[in-house]
Amino acid sequence: MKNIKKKMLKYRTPILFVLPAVIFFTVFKIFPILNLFWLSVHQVGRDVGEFVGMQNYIRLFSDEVFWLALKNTTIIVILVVIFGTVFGYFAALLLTEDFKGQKLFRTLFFIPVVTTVSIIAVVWKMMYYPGESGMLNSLLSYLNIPAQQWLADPDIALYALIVPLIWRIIGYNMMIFIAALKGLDQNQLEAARVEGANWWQKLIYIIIPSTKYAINMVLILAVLRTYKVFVPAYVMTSGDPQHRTETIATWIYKQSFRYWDMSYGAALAVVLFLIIMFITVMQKKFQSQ
Amino acid sequence: MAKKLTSIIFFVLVFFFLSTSVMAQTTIEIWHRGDMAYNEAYTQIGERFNEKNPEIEVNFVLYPQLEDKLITAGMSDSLPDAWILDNVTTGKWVTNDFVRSVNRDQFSDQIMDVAWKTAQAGDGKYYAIPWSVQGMAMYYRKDWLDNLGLEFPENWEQLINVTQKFTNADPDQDGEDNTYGIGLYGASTRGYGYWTLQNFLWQAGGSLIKNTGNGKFISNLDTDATVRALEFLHDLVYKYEVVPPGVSAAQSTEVYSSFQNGLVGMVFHANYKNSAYTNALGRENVGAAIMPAGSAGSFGLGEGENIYINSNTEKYDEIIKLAQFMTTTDIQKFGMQITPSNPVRLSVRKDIDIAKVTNNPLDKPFQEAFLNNKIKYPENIPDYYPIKIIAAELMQEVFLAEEAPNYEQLIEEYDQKINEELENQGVLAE
Repeated sequence: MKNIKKKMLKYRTPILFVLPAVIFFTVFKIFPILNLFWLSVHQVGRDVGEFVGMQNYIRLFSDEVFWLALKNTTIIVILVVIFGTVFGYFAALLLTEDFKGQKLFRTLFFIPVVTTVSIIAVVWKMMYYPGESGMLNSLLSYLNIPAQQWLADPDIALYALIVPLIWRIIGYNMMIFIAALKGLDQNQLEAARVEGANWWQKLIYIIIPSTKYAINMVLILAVLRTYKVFVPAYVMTSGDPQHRTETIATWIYKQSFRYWDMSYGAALAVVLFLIIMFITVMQKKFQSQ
Repeated sequence: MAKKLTSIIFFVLVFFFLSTSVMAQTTIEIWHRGDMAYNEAYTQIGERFNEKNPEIEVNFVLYPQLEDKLITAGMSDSLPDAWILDNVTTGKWVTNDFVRSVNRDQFSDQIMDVAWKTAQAGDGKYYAIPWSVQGMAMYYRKDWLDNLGLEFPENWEQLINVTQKFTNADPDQDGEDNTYGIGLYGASTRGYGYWTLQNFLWQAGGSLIKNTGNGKFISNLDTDATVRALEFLHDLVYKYEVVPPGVSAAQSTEVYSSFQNGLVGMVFHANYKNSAYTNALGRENVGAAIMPAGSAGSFGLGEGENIYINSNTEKYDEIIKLAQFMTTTDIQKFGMQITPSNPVRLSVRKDIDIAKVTNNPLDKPFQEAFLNNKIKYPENIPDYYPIKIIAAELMQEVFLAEEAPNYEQLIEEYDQKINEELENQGVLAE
């Protein structure tokens, strides 16, 4: 006890600096997560009622919509992470080159990141208008391709939802990659050039390995953000048609606030938290190897 | 000196407490949804009430996502004294003990029975005060009918004929093939497809659920009427091709705008788009009428808003006083006339001629539908929302099937889903 007190006194200043952040994190992050678990094992109405144990977690196994939402969300994450990272990286490679209009293009790529998500969702929904007069369908008509019911067709609705998500994340990833590319060792690149390495060889053997920390960070952030995707999915399709675009987050919202089953909604949220945590840990482990 | 000072402080304190107690006002907090225009309208009503009842102040607070807010407020014991919300939510509040019952005899006998029914729970008590009602009727393009020499359809057969002409005979006379007959709701989101199914199902003589008495219910989907309604709606989309593409994802905004932009010649919903439609299309070009009749008649879905009183409020009497005031002829008329957003769509009172108050003939058919019992409300089960979603999913599945689906099989599947939901809510009849 005396030892702890002594250490506390010794590290008083750093502790005082860290304390506000610790309090904030505990109150606004740790406590809600614990509370979520507490709610998920109780019957919740106007008050937190009787203890129901793992009932909600067992129910989850027979909830077909949850499994469909999990599958949809995973497809969204995979496609958004892959295409968002690849396109973001190539956009960064292009926009670190010196050319006229470089800043304009950087701004254009970054605009979706600073635009409100719900507005982006509404605009894309308008572009996907299913009639022949819809913006995308008008373009298709020039190519003699019949009009598509982008958000109403169960076979393409999910992919139609994914496109704006990729489009939006490219600018964000691009900025991180530009910062990493700026830090490249120019001497190394120059030496490679003198040795006769072409652009592709420089990319594979020097640029990508030198920016792997940025790639790792982008991958982790993209997975974290995309697994929780809610606003675009809710505004554009709300799970339609027939839950083919349902995501875990929209299903949590519907269960909690539409079906008013807070307890089950909390169980779903706990599962989402565990999925994200597991993937993040695995990702970090894999990347550190 | 000290004694003198003490006496002065004493008198000042006595005066302060006396004056505050004399001037004290009770403040009622009422939450409502909508936008700032609605909030301004409600605030005006609150000010009028306060003029007549200076001891009671009313604070109307706007929450666009009111239902979500109420649920979280209920869990944290921070509900307002009262709130104004869709009457279809009555069962939800009663089941979760959010609201206190009211004595119907304390209110005007001119309030329509059908409006009171929306405030009634399974135990026969009333748990809200009707504030505004609205029922669905059909908006149509008068100019398109005139251009083609047609009359508004009175039944389903005529509806097919008129919608086909609207789709194929260039009703807007612009020389282009750019119109459709009717806009239908097909999204399962928030139960939009339910609007379509419920209206046509009643017109065909069916219903989603049946009240078997003693607070028990059973699914009523497995009937010929359901097949008739589903077949008719599927035919409108795929056989007659009179509905714009994307019907299976169509929500209210798409359907409203398809009418407002001149894409379709008919849409059905309550009377809340009069000014938008007449401004966009011209007052003389827009008409409204009671829904075309199916084999069982012409019925439309009823909706509306009630005033719910928090079961824990200490200001119950004051809220009753306010609700009495809000259901007087004057305030009901005032509520319909406020622009740009009128919180009273149609008065809950039967002694008000709505078209005269709003000076808009478009409102007339909507009121007639109520007065002629053409408006029906869903059954009072504890929570109607899941039933709405099941119905909307059925509707969407039919709209997604290009080839006519196996209706019997589909109905059996959804009939079972409804019964499972009724069982979950503890109201399934044996």
